[in-house]
Amino acid sequence: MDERTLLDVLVAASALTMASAMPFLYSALGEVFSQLSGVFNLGVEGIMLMGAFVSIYFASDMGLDAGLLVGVLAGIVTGALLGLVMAFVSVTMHADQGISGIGITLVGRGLSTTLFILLADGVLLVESFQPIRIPLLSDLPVLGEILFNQNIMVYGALLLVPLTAWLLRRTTWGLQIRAVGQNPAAADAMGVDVVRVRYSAVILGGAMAGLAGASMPLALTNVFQVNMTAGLGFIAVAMVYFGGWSPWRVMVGSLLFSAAYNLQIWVQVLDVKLFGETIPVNILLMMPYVLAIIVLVFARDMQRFRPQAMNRPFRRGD
Amino acid sequence: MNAANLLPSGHRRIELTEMIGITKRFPGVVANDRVNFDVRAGEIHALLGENGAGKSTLMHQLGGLYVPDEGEIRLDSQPVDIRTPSEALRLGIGMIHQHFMLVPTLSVTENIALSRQGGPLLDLNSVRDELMAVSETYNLEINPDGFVWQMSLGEMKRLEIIKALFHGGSIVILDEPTAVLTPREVEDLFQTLALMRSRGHSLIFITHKLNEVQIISDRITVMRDGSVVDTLPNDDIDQSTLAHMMVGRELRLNLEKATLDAGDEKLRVRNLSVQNDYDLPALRGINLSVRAGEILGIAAVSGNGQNELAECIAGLRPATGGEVYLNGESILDKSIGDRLQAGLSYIPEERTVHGTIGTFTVAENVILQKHGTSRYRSGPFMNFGAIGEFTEDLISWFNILPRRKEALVKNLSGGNAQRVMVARELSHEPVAMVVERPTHGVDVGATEFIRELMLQKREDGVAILLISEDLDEIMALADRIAVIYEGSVVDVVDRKDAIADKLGLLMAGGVGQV
Repeated sequence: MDERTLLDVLVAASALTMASAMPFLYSALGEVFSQLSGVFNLGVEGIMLMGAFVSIYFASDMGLDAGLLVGVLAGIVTGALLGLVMAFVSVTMHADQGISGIGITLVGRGLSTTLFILLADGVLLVESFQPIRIPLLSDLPVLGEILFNQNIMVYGALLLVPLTAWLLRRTTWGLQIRAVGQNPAAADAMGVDVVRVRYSAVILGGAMAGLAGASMPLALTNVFQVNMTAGLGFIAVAMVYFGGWSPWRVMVGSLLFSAAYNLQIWVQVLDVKLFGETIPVNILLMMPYVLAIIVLVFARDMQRFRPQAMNRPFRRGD
Repeated sequence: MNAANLLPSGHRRIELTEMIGITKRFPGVVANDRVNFDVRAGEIHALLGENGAGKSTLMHQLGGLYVPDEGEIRLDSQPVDIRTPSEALRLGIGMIHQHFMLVPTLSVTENIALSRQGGPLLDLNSVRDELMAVSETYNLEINPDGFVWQMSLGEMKRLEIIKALFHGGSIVILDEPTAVLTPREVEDLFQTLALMRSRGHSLIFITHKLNEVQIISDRITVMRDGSVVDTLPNDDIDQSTLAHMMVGRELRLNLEKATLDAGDEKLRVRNLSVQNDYDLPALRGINLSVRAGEILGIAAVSGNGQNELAECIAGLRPATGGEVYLNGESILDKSIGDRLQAGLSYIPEERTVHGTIGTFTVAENVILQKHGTSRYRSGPFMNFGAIGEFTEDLISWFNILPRRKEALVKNLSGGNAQRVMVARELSHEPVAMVVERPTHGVDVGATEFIRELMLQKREDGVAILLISEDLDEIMALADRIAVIYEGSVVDVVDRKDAIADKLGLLMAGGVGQV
């Protein structure tokens, strides 16, 4: 392999890493809002699956044929509705958050599979979002191809990082979110409507998980498959811990995990040998999940940023 | 409206606050029974009573946390209906809770900005300006960009006061504000309160400390069992009269301490270093020695390593250097169980965290360390008969209420839960005891009882290491006093040579000889 083609492979791999970081970014940034407000939403995986199915069903000519943008919107609305369910169960009904989230994941997984078979006979394809070359910037050597020749949903995911950071730091609502997740009693005493703030954060988190789901068939794979998220939603939840509830560190985590996903693909494609043997595919597929566990062990220092009221329902006077 | 009716902040000044015939019931308890209370502008009104007397409940109704079942609240003769804390704030009622109502991860300015129902964008600069104006008007020094988690308890209390003033708090309720402060910080607080009084605020000061009431208040309302005993002006009332009103019987405020010659050294700490939860040094090679029949008081402001000292001796926290000897034998390598066997007893600060299990009964709590001994089991089974008798004995000796061994500890009052823990720890005839803030958050009756018990144990020849932030307690009980500041022993003095003011200065990091 000469140098020229090695560089091409690296650029292509990096561009793919950026693209496949997209669902992580949408879902993990959404979970940042939710967890900072004090609600640990483990339902992300199920919300993503529902978002993925609903969006492609709206967008595909094998479904409702309403176009890609309507598909994305449908995914967002679906996610927001499931976020509303999560908020009702955990904030209003004071249910255990972990259990509620698992319930939502199981419902989302089962329902998306059932609807897929009932409504679409198990096949959904779509003409996905095409890359948009940004003039001038995409002509930059190496970086141009990696960063500036992506589709609109990838750009959107990357722009959400500074937007999320700004919302949390610079707006009244962001301050209220950070406060109700740390000390809801103090926020309440200061006149902050704890319930309203938590609802808004959890619904936004759900909408973003729905968007993350929509991004998979509409901007990455062109198809819907049963259980296509394959645990990615759970990794997104873990990534929020790894990122210490900071959007910027969550972005680093997303890129890292995306690289791990892609690395295993490239190891297969290039047939990399270990001790003269082909590495078994199942071992390679495990790597991102193993990485998630290892990273969480080393990320325990991030616990000091943990929203202290996470997992604790709020009742005035308790 | 003329200027006389305004506070320095430009907010309306409330001249008279009245609570009339207030009744508040909780399941099984009448927390407030037809209570009348009033406070005027330019007055500090102390609300005195034991834990559970209903003081906080009464004030929570003024602060919007609870809604009264019966009765009326009037501000300048206008009836008001206060249903949430934010409504109370809007009416000019600021409440400073016993537990800090601050968000530790936010800055000082952000904490204040929380209540600002302004536009969608944060305007931290204008909040900072306003807060600095309050800070200057009331001589309350604060760094607006500091984070709450980095602040001392005194600074946090100051921030709480600024927060109340920032919102134009015409009426400011302070719920046991001195509980976590050093003597120096208490002095500063009292100066602030006097200044606020002179500026026309109405101040309500909830406490169970008699000396503070006498120093700072204009009028005193004493509550007992949910009712008001009396409201009187603060002149010529002596402490024992107040105590009698509060407790309903005579209390001995001055404990009699037998003169003893201390015996052999029982507990020795040599060059001990320990780290805190953040792996930072909490103790930097300290040396201490406690002899039989002696109480060594550790005077330190919270967070100076005294908690780590207690946990290390008890076996909850590893040492990074040095030794601890019990009866001349090194115990650092021993398990907690072995230390108990060797005669060490530990009364921890956080009775709900380390001291008792709330969802266990009194019997289950007192038998915790002994359930494995042959006397209290038959084979692998617990011997409920023996355990029950043992518990009933303890309940009557230690006067634990209710007198039911099946009562869950979480349903007991603070003072009674403390009695359960103390009863358990004293029931196994210790050689040495480590006692942390034994009367913290405990009512006067239980305080008297627990202090007398400790003196009794001292006479029995137990070596006692007493850790407390309450200087009065240390002065009343200790034979010698060691002051710890930032993980080092600053000085060790004999009780008879100790002067409270100088100890307070040393605790706060001041230099000089006691």
